[in-house]
Amino acid sequence: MSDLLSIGASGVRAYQSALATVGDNIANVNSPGYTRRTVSIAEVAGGSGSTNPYGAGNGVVMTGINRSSNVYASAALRASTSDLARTTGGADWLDRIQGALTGNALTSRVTSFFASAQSLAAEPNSTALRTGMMSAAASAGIAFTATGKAFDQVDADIDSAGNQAAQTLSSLGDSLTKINESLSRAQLGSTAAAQLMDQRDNVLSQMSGIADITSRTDAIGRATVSFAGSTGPAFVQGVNSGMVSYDRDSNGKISFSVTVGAVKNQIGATGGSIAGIVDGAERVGAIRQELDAVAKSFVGAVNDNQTAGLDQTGAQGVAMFAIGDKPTDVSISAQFTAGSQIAAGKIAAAQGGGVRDSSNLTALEATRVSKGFETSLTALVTGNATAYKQKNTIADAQAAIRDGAATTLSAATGVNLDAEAVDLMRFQQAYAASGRVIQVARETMQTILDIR
Amino acid sequence: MQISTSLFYANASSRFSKMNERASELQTQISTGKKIIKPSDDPAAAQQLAEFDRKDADAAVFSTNITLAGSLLDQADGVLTQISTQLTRATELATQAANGTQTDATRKIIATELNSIVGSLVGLANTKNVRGQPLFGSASGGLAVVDNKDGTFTFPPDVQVSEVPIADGQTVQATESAKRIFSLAGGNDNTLAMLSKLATALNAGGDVSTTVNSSLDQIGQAVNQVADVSASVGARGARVDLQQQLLVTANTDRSELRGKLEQVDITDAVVQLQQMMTALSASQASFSKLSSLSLFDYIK
Repeated sequence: MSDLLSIGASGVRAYQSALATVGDNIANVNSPGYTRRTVSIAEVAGGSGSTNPYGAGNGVVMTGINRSSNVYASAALRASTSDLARTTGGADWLDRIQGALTGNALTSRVTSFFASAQSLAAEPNSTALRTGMMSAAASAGIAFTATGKAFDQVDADIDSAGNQAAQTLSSLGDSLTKINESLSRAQLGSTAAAQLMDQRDNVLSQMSGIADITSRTDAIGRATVSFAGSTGPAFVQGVNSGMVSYDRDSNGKISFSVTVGAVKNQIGATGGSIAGIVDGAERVGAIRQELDAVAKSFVGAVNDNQTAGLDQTGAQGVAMFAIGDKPTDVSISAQFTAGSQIAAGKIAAAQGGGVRDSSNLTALEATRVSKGFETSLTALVTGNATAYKQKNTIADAQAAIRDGAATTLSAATGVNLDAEAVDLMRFQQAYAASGRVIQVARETMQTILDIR
Repeated sequence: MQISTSLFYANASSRFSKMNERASELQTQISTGKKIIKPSDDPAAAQQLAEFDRKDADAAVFSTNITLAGSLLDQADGVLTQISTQLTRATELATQAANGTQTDATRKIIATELNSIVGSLVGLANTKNVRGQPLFGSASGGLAVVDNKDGTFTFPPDVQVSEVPIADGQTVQATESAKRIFSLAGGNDNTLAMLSKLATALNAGGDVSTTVNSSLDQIGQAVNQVADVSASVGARGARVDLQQQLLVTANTDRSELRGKLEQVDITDAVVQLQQMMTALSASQASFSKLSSLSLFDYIK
């Protein structure tokens, strides 16, 4: 009957561990990245019995702690996180561009400039109207400059976001190598191994928010990670990982690369926030180019118009605007110091010209219509706004896909308190019953001992 | 499908925050009265609104210019009426002078009055407009007519002051040049010199009948010329008035369109907000009921 005693004892031991695992699950109900654990228990096979050839089993043994993971659901979640991060990241930059384009009221300041010219055309000899047009010109220049500066700031922020993303990726790769190392020492099926795998999945999901990654795990759970669209050695393999770097070339084009050993390979920006950063930088570059073109054409047209006319004193007009280092650095030129220098009348106009001649301002209005500065600026704003809105629509759809993937994964790996309560009762009962088995074994033994 | 406890809470919280976000969006729309805050809210409408902004800025300038042109034309009309009155008086005086009963002495008195008429005509021609510029001046600026004090008068080169822009591609000549007002047939002579000459002749005495008779003809021409100019000013005034009406109509149409594009339908928004709040409180109630259910309550 000592068999029965050890069977009872094995049950008590197994269910103790099972209860501890349920307790662990309940305690970690809110831990991010925690995967529900289950115990696997198995019968201990018995040999032939001592009293008869058939015998009973030798009780129960806990064979390990399982993580109820689902590799397909994890991979799906990672892929959809990567897609969503790209779209929302890109949309954030488009929002910044929208702010930069509209924040300084560039379009309306250019309109005010031309409107003040039309006012002056009504009475070209009025000093008040000339001063008004000059200050409108100054504010148009300030608006161009401030808009250019706002784009400089967006570029600077893109650089810092890019460097940050590269650093984060490198340090995540480093963490993953440590986890890989520990995994090779941890015993398969132990709580320690399960914890390491949770950490591994956490790191992988953080990585997929930043870049489009493909990962494989080997038999003991060590992960190998490479970037989609990147050739060459894997970013993380075993205990080795590469360095991710961010670069901006002289043309303003940005790229991310991974260096493993001495080999440097560019990362194809196909997903994650780094793809959003690359998308944003491209758009900033394109819009900046168009803005520069409008600024150049505006300054050129106004200055040409000035030099084609005569100012209030009858002298030939001088350039009104000067351009600094960048085409958007527009300011009132140093030679243009007073409203009287606005060239309202035409040189050698067929009608003779004079201080009350505004035919050059009429020519300016014609240039405004033919070159369409304001229309071009509005088109920039609208084009960007349309792209931003589309991105948001796509982001909504991708968020729904990501939520679906998260739900699927959570169904497999998440802790449900009701399910744990049922397990708790089940194991508690089994534990109590095993205890009763020990008691029965003792009483039975006592029966034999009590024979006199 | 088993929903993990943390997902249940996470879902509920993200649903609530989405509803709150929408409620706050509606709240902003109701309090600002606008449904387009950023261009990306509705790019197509934003583009039209930008166009309207530009038109509004232009319309404000045109409106000022129309008011200016209108007032200049009104002023010109008034001054031309006064010039016309003076010329009528000159006709009377010339007719008196033609009378054979007049003596050299009385003709001298008439000459004096004629000279003063010439002086007031020069003064009227040099009237300043609301902007302090000569009303009947020319593009070169300066006085509209200069009295050389020797019976001749200098007009600046006959270049019209630039026209005032009153609408897209439309301008109006808001003034007249003194040269045109006082021009007489033949082009070399002008009303002022002609009247001066008459006064000089009357002053000199003797037989003045030829001079007076030809002057009477020319004064008649001068009156006609002023009437012509006056009619042309009046016609332009009518055009400016019409343009002003058109501008007002266009402004009204534009602000109505703008309203349709950017203004929020308050009734609709309030109903939507109410609906949202009802749904939100229902969700909150059902959430608190569901979350209070737990098997652990039954483990004793």
